[in-house]
Amino acid sequence: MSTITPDLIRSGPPLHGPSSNYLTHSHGIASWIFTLDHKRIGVMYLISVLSAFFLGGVFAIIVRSQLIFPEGAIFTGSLDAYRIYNRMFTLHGAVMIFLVLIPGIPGALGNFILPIMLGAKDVAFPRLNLASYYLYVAGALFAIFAILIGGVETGWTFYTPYSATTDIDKVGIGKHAVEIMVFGVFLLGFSSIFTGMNFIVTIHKLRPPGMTWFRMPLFLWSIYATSLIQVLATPVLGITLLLLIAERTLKVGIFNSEYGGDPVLFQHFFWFYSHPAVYIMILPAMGIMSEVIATFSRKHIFGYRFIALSSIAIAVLGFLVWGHHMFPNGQSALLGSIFSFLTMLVAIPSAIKVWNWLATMYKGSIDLKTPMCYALAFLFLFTIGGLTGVFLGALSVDVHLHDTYFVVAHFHYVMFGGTLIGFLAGLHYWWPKMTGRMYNETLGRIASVLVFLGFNLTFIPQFIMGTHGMPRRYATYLVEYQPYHVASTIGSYIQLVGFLLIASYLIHSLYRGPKAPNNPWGAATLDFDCSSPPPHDNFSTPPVVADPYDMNRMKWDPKLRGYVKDANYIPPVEH
Amino acid sequence: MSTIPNDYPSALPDPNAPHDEHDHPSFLAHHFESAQQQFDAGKLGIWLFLTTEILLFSGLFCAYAVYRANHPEVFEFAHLYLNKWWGATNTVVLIFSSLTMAWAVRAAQLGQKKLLVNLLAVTLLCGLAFMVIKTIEYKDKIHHGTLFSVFYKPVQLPHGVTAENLLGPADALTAPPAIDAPEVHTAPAGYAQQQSKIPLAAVGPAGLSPSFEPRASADGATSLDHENPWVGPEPRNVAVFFSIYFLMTGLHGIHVLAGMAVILWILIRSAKGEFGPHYYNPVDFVGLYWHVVDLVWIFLFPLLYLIH
Amino acid sequence: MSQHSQPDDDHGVAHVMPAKTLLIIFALLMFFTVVTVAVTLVPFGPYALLVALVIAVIKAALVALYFMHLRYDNPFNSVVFVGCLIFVGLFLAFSLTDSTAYQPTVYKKQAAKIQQIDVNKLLEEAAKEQSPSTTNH
Repeated sequence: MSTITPDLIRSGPPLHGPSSNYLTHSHGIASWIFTLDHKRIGVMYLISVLSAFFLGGVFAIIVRSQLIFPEGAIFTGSLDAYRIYNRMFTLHGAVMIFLVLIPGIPGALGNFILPIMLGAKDVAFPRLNLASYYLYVAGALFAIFAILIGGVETGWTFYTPYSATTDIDKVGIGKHAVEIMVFGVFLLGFSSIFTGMNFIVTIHKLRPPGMTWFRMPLFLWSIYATSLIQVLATPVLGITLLLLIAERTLKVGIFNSEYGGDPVLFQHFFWFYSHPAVYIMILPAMGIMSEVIATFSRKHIFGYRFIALSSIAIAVLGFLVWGHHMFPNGQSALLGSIFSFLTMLVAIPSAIKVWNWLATMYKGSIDLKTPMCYALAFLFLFTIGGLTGVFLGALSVDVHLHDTYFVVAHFHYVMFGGTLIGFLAGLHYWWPKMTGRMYNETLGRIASVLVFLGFNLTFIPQFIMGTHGMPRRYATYLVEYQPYHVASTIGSYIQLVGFLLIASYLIHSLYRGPKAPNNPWGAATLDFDCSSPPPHDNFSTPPVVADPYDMNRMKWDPKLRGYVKDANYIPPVEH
Repeated sequence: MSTIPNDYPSALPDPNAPHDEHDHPSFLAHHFESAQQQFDAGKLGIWLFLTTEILLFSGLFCAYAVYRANHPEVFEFAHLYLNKWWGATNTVVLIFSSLTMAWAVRAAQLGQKKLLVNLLAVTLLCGLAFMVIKTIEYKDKIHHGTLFSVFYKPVQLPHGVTAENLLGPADALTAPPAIDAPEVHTAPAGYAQQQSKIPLAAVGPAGLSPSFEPRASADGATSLDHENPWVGPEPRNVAVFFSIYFLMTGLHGIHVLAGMAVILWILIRSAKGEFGPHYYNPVDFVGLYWHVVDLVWIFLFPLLYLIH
Repeated sequence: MSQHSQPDDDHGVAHVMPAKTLLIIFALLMFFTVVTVAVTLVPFGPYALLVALVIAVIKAALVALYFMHLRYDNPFNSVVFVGCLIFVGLFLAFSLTDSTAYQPTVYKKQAAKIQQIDVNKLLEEAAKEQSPSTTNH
């Protein structure tokens, strides 16, 4: 370890034999259940997150299908039927947010890629990593159990006093559905906290020689910023949920005014976590964008330090704006004005990043592989989402748009158009690395177009009808909104086709896909140094650290159908 | 530096030395390059965890702050039910246990195995003493009916409050209905507009209680002091104080119990000789957790017991 | 920062706290605990809470710096701890400010003011209803 010979030719062949990688290193179900290998944990997370996404998508299709007719297409005619609709959108939101978007990129992609990209052998606390995963599973099981015994209709935000009093007189186990789901979310919160702790310590303490802070790839910066938020914000969600359970079961009177409590206080508690939570969702996706855009523009990322520090700025500023979810909800005018002003500030670092990505693409050599198609979609969709967020951040405008479909469209643009598109980009970018297989590029591009077009058809009508006053979370609506709803529902079906296509070609690639080279895309980060799939212990000797965005270091090898390090390359002098 | 017992190697391995594959100390995990790295990583990890614990309690401190700022009379009245000497004793017990825990870390660093085991045992006993006192306090509350929310049915007045200090309601607006009374849909007796169907926000349906200053006692004395800690009618929603009290001390108590369990585990490992100058990380990290438990109590004590 | 920081002392991975320091800090903590209780006898008026909190912060600082070793540790650990307290402060400050700012909308004075307007209107309407033109009750 003390003698590092820069070896520009060797690109890290597997060291335990030509075909040994993390998948074949050991066999049997016990070797997966008790694994301490971050790569296997990442794969388990990936399977779980994608399953949860499928479940959330089922609820989404039900919600959209209901809204084809003004009087309701599925749940119609009685209050009880509408209350079942309430459960559908609540569960869609809760499953998507807590089981897919928050754990998704850090758990599935971050776990797999972070140590390799950093140059470490594993995360700092592998057993804690496994515990994180099992807390995720436990939380998911509690949530599913709550769904099975009748579900929850409070909205994913669990606002009191409704969440403290609903179903309390119900007969049977169904009356505990709220507590059970809330406890499941509590466990998911701790899964998130432990993941965040692990990543922070890994990045601080496990960097190899030469890997200074400003030599790290930007995906690691974004995961680091995400982890800061996870550690600081999630415990407040934890106590909020515990207090909600106490409120329901013991009637403690903190949030329920019937017993002397303050419902607006619940909202302060809840949004202190849930606003930073949306930055937990978007920051890793932004990190993926930095990697994908640089790689597929064959160009050094523009404004590295700006992007890195913007990630930290977003994390910090994200803690100062939670009241913008509460403008018309009883918050005082004083705080409303303060939060409105601070909300305008938080848009700035995100905008800096978008400009830097565009500048990276300028005069680059664009290669429209599937991850890049998703990256372009991200730039368009996230910009719309972010800008509409600025509309909503203006206090006076929000008074009219709060709880309308405008808000629904806004957050779908940032969460789906931002995080989920980023997740798809990262999934396609690292699929060859994780599985050792290439997927069908043509189908990938077609699916990305289907998802993009379907998404816009789903949500642009929602912006319009939101400004016309269509409220959210309504099972029925006035007939004048029907054209928008029908267009939106058709868009959702197009998206469904797109996602089914993605699932089919990805699964197909596992069996029939061509073997992937070490570096199919020509990236200069350490994760593409090792084999696809990577060996069990990533690096047996610490890797050579160089500029992670110096694309010229790689050259295409037609025999391997991938990129290799250029033996004759002399890197420019770094300032 | 005290004497190193003779059951430890005379030459301590250099914690900064990189290890080979063959010379891997059993306590050093494979993904770490050196013992120093493992210690630093573990330390940062436990500090991050303690951050999350402090933020978990911060929610309760926020509920306390918000409620106390808006309804100070509830706190000034209800805290008189608490016995500050039990609270002070618990404070002393926990601070002493922090001392023994910090000393235990020192003992581990110096390889003083017997001292380490004894100090951990004392820490554990202090934790036990804390929980015993807590149990006494809780049983006292149950006995006196001063529990949270709907279970608040006090059988006596708090310390220092006499029946004559508790004046009857001077006007109907401050009359405290019982917390589980049916909803008030008509204005209470004494209010001028008898036909109003709009419930007053101030008194119902069981809304937030109005805040007011305790008024002068019957003989005109207006200042509160130790003999007269409270003058005026019993405030509404006193049960919320006890909700906050039980939630805060309850969550703290759960953390004390968890801490005791972990200290017991460390105690057993220390008795087996697993710790010494070369490796004492778990003792250090468990110690840090225990100090945070103490820190939380250092704030809980004045905030709950010593309200003026 | 890289992983091979030098240990602070010749005892291995970290500094060993001298026994004397531990005992002195304990004595100080006991002293401040006595002060905490004694201070309740002094009528500070509205500042009583502030005094109690200041003393608690001093005790907490002693525990953190010495018992928890922050004085002799990697400074980043102190950054983590202080950073945590800053976020707690942020949370409490905003929530407290907001809740005290909207309290008047639920206090009886302001509520009664609002009520009186409505109540008067209601009385007028009730009076109108009782005039001969209407109805059954």
